[in-house]
Amino acid sequence: MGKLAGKKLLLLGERDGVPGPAMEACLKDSGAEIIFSATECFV
Amino acid sequence: MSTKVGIKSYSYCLNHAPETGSHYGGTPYEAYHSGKEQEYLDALPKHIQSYDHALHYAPNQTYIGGISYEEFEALPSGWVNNPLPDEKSKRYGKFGELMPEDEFLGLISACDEFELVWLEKNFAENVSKKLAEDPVITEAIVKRVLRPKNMHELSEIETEVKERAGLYLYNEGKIVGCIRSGHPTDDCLTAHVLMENLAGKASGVLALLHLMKNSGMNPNDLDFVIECSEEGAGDVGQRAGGNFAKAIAEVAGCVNASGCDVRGFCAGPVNAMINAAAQVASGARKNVAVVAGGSIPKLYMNSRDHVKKNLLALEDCVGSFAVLIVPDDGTMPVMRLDVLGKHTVGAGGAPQAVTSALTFEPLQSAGLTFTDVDRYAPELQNHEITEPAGAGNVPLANIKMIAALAVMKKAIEKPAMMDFIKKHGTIGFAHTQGHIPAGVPFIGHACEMINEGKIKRAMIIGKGSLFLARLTNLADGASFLIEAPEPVKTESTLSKEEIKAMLLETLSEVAGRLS
Amino acid sequence: MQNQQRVKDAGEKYGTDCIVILGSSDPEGAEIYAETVTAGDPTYAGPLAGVSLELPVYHIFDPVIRAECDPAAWEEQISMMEMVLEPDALAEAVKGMREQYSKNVIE
Repeated sequence: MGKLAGKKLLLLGERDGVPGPAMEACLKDSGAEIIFSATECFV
Repeated sequence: MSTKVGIKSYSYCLNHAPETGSHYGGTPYEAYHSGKEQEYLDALPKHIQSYDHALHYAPNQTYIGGISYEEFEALPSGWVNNPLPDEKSKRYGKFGELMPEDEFLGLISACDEFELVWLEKNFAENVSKKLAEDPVITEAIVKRVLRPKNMHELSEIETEVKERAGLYLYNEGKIVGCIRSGHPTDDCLTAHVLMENLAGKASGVLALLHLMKNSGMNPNDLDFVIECSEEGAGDVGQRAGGNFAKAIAEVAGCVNASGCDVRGFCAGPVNAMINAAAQVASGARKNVAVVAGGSIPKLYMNSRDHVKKNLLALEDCVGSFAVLIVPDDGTMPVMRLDVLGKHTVGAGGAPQAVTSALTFEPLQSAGLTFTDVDRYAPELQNHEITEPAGAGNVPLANIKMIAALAVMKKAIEKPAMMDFIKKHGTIGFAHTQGHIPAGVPFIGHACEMINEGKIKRAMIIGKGSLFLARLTNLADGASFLIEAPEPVKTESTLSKEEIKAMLLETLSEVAGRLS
Repeated sequence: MQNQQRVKDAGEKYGTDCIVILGSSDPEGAEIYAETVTAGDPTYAGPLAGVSLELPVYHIFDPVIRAECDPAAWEEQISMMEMVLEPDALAEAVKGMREQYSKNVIE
């Protein structure tokens, strides 16, 4: 089991950085539950 | 059907609006209503930039065409502390103007059809005189500022605000008018919403008037308007029913035009350009003006951080732009319809997928590569505004994405990334987006550089944060190329005499064979 | 910050079993975010003003988090941004706040 097993993840992405859905795709099989994933835009 | 259209003309304007912004910009307005940030609200007025300072601020002059893009690029960084010389800091630039706030309030009043704007009588008279000096403001518009229904005593204005949910308008710290509520219960017609929409309309009108002047077109000859701001006009039944385009065309005197709105957050203008070009290329319209006004809520969006760091709060201008699309005649910069970037639903949100869909894929389909585009304009927000707010240098990050993708696609070597960024990138000079988003502020400069033979090809990109509306997690994006014109191939035409001679020759040949 | 209320709700429900992972583009922005979900909103503007959730917070580029990511998905979704952004500076900026304010961190 990975270090994230059993954890709850809050993914706060940024449009001009790493967006939420991209992080979600990378962490969906990490053993953690993704509680929410969001993307922000500062401009 | 042609796959190219001509870009005949363009205009870019700014409306300085610091007092409107410090009261009704989204961040100050929210702070005022939360009641939790008095310190910030008290400090904000001390961080406001004067009109004269705004005129000397290099990014503003670049936006209105007061200086060329190359001049801007050559300037040392730290524009706020390096004002331009007076001779390069005029109100009117090659593309448009930077209008002071009092005249903007007058123009907003001129754009009102429903007695929603009341200006104090003396103020209205004074600004009407100032507006009359503006070369694009028509006599009809000046007269509209002086309509008795829009001019009131201060006491009437105070009553309207206090008793019927109006909102004050300010100039030089004084109350000079109000926006009235449009309906007692409809949330889509509050004074705040109407102020936003009327300001969007008025700034769009200014851009369209400058477009008519820059193109030399008689407003009567304009066929269609596509408006692509990020505002929503409607009522409780349809909160963004529309339509800004026709409302703007009406005030600008374009009596033979009709119009519609295209939306998509910051991808809106690029989609509107494609829409307009397709209509002209197909022959559906003789010409189309793409127009957008700006947004009051975006004013002072990052000012909390500017105040905290004791900097000037620079987000004080409502921006607008307009572009005139006509059939390609081989003399104007052209927009290509056969090479369009499209961010599909299935492409997902990963930056590399988005960048690929908007740059690599359309270029590849046209047999081009990354280095064939002289300049990319993905985002043009002024980094002096965004960096102090922890939002980084957005144009640079986006050019870097294109450079990094070029490396991944083996179009350039990794050590050449910085060179690529410098040579093919663009530096931001626009106010934070929402007013004048993504790559569209560069259309004017790209056309100028093409006309001067300095570049052959530019790519304009727009990316829209659709997820902000909470309907989808997707973003959107679109892109197109602007290129130098090629002489239009005309089919050789034969005169009647030539045809007659050819026929006679053929007939005599036939007759010869028969005999 | 548009998502403070959602972070607050999750933090109050699950405590420091919640891990916040940031995708910010700018080290300074990442630092402010990290401070917000640990010590509380430094701007005092949002729902986390004066609320110390002490959540463990990481940037997606932190080696600890990166090691837990699916390599194929990373390649497809994030690898290009490693060339664009400053991964080390971003991870460090968040680490500074985590070391000061976070509880229940993973190593």
